[in-house]
Amino acid sequence: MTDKSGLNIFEKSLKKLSDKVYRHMENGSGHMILLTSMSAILLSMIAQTGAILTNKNYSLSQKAFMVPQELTEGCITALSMFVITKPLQKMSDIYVKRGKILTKDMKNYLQKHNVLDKRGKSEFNLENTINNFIKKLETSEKHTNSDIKLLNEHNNMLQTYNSVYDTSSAISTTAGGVISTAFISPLIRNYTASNFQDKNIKMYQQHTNIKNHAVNIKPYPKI
Amino acid sequence: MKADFNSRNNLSFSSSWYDKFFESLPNKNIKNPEKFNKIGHMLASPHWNRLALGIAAISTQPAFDYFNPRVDKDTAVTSALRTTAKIGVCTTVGFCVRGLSYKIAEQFIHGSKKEGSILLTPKEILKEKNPIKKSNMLKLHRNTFSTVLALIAMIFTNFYLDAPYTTKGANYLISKYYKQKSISGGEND
Repeated sequence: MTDKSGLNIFEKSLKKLSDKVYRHMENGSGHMILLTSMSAILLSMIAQTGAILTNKNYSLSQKAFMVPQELTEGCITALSMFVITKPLQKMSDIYVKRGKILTKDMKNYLQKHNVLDKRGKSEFNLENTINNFIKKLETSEKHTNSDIKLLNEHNNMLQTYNSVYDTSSAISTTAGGVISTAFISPLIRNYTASNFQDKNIKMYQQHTNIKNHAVNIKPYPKI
Repeated sequence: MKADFNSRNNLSFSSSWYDKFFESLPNKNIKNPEKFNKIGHMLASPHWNRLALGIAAISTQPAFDYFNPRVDKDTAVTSALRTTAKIGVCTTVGFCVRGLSYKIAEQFIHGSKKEGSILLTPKEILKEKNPIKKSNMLKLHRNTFSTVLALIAMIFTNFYLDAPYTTKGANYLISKYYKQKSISGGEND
């Protein structure tokens, strides 16, 4: 099934989605990727909670722990991902922008253009510096051979800078994700879920008037 | 609304303590730029990023659950085994779905017709004349589009693959644990 443009329904809907994603990519793609990651975590949380509730192999006390554990994990991971990743991304932005992290080529380039002493200073912006060099050359009326050579050098440096920027950004985003999923989320979810388990079982016992329900919980140390 | 790919330049950090803190940090030189960029390229791809998070999660989360002092032993073991199954299944499915979405994005989002189909490349990117800016826009769009595509796919895979296979995996691990426990006569308690 194709239309006038020769696209089938699948291709047409993919194209529509691609255009929509592009138009909503304000502030670069990082914001959208973070939002979609958080949505994925919350979606997974709903599916996994349903799976626990319908699993007949878990006892009531286990469900009373695992349901809040799953719900807390989803919320905490999404929240901590946002809270930890954003500052880390900003830190990596500043680090790269101020030239605190450089390759050997970048260092030689800064030395050649007499700006190496500004490296790491708060007023220094490496990307703007390279762009200003390019703008200056592009706006000049006469272009000599050495100007064209210099312009290529600046463009190559901008490419190198972009690679370093993207890599640092990817590393900081992943580091934020690792810290939140591997350490913060399990610690908080287990503490919160055990409190919920206690409350849920007490509530269940009150409602059903079963004093000696086989919940088998050991008293846990209060923090 | 048009995407602003230069918005990263608009960040301003005017606080003086902030500036002093960053100025006091040591400068770093990248010794092997190729290796550094290779790592960055891998981590920026949604499927490798998912795998990295999955490996990090499976190396700590089951241990946190197993040694949780606030629940009884049975619940701690069940929770640790379910977490292991969940991370295993979700990482595998997530890696495959994101990998497939990335392949679709790679196949259909290109800068020129020579490289392949440009079906999903927005007109604004195709019109861009600066090659560096264009390649950046393409890379960003590819990553973001594949992540969004994977999210849509995951609406279904979460319910039809992740959740049921986590249950199956957890039940398998739990039954194996209790079988072993009954053979050893509950020595592990």
